[in-house]
Amino acid sequence: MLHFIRRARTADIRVQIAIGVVLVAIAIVAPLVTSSFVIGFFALTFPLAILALSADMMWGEGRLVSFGQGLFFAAGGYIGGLVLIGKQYDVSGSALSFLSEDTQQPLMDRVLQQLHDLAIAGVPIPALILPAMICGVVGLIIGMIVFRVASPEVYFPLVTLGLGVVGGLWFNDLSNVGASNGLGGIPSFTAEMGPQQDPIYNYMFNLAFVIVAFVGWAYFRRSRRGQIWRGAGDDAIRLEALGYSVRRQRVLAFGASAALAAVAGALYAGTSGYMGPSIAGVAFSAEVLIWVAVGGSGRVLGPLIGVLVVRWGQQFLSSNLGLQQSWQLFMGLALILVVVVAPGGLLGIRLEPLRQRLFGRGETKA
Amino acid sequence: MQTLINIIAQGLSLGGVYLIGALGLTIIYGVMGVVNLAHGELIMLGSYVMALTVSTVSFPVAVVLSFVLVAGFGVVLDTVLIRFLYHKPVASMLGTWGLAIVLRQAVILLLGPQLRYVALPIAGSFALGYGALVSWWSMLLFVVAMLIAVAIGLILVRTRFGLKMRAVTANSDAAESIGIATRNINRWTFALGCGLAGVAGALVAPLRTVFPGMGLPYLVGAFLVVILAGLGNVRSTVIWSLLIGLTFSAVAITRDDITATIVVWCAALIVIAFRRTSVVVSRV
Repeated sequence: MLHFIRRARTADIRVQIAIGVVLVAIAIVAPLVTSSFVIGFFALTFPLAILALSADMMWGEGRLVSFGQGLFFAAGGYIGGLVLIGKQYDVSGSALSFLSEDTQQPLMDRVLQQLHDLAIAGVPIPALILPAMICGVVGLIIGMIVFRVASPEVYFPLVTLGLGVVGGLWFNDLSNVGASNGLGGIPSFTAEMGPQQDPIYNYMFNLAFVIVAFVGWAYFRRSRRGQIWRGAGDDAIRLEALGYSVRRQRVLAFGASAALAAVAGALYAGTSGYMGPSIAGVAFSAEVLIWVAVGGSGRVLGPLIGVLVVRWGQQFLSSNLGLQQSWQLFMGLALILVVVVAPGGLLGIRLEPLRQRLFGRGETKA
Repeated sequence: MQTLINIIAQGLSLGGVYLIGALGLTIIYGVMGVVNLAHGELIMLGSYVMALTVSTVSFPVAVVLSFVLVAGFGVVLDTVLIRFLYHKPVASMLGTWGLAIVLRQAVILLLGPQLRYVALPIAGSFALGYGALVSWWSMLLFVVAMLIAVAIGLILVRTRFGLKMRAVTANSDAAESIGIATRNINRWTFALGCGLAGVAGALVAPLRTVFPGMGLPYLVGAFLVVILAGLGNVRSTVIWSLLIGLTFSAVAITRDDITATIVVWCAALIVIAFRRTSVVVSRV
């Protein structure tokens, strides 16, 4: 029924599985051979890869670019961080409650403490579930409003751009989560498992989520629901004519994307120990889009590769070449270059001629 | 009463800036299908032209100069980047966002990140009774914005260039095939939009501080106008930019800027949610 979906975009499933198995194997063996600095780098990059995936869920398959992913990421990080800490941000810097006669804690703190204690094997599970639920519902509500308008491929980015600006300002002003200071001192998800200094625990914990997210996404793209969702991006009018509600697809996708971004944010907050208002702003959300653009949107591994290349490049330029100041300039130039020269990103660079020569068969369309 | 007059005066001048910005965005999108996210940075460039020249030349010359220089820069941008992005909304957003980053960083590298202040070229204000003082400059800004809106409307309806612009908006391929040089129309439309952004920046410079990152709030405000007014509709662009300017200044004066931004966007979402007909990309 959905014949019009680009068949060429899905590579042979055996090749996909083989690539996946090799990557997972490398990721599991890697800590044995590399330094703890590299492990720490990857542990912090994995949540960002999930964030990039959440942006590509909208962009790659639905042709809808969201400038608000950072907002959901930050919101997830704040909610997760509050649950991990178990109390609100203390404005005075030290607990003054024992100075006053009233030993009763505020309601918010008691709720957070309760949630914090709901741990399974030492991991406070509500710190992951709560962000996903709250941001998912917010995403659904915003989606229901935004996708009323015609030509959402133009209006959706603009509305999310505005939401990003508003969200950044709001978190900058919200004293429960530290306002402009941000929320610091967030304990790790794996705090009960081993010493906080060793990044290997965070690495493995986050790796599990990356594997689940990317394998789940690859599986979903092949499933029937996934094909319908891709149809909404390919040809919305034809999908509508086949009896599917494109608007419903888009609303659901935005809800799922927001929830995934929130989980990524919670993981990031647990790993870095910090979440700040600048992450909610538009500049960071645009950086997420740059990762996806560099890696290649609409490919399963595009977001992962984009994040690794850009973040590694950032690390290299700022620490090895001392170009910390002009890093932004490079990002802007990279974005322009990708959009004009290689719209498919690194993964989209045409290798057909080479592949044809090697394997004797090629894909006609990219 | 005094507060009310202040709200109206500030709202009209802010609405004027949004109006000039939104007009540029809307003609650029209408004619060449480019969503220009670098518009805030073009406004910033206009402010810098004003800040750097107003001490040597008189202010009307400085305003005209910022129009000419930013429009000329627009021609360069069109040649090196924008023409690759015609009629690709998503690619144009990403490309122009990259351009915005580059422009911001280039200004930081060349002129430094410090804040600059421009003295009001027409100092002073007039009394409206009830102890309320309205500055001449903000009224001038509003009047110039309205004149520009009228001029754009007339250009679109009464001139050959406007006719060609509307033809390209309606159907670019058909316009090309009946002998309209769409390449030139695109280039000059983009230059006009950039020039308008330059004027907006020049006019707003004396009211606010000038710094490399100043563009984003204006970009977001102008796009809010465009979202509510529909792309390519001059009359509703005027109405919505004034409404938004007034709403923003009402909340900003009684509470603060952050609350105002939040209130304006939530109001916009509610308007979109309860609108009977959805927003349509209409003709200019």
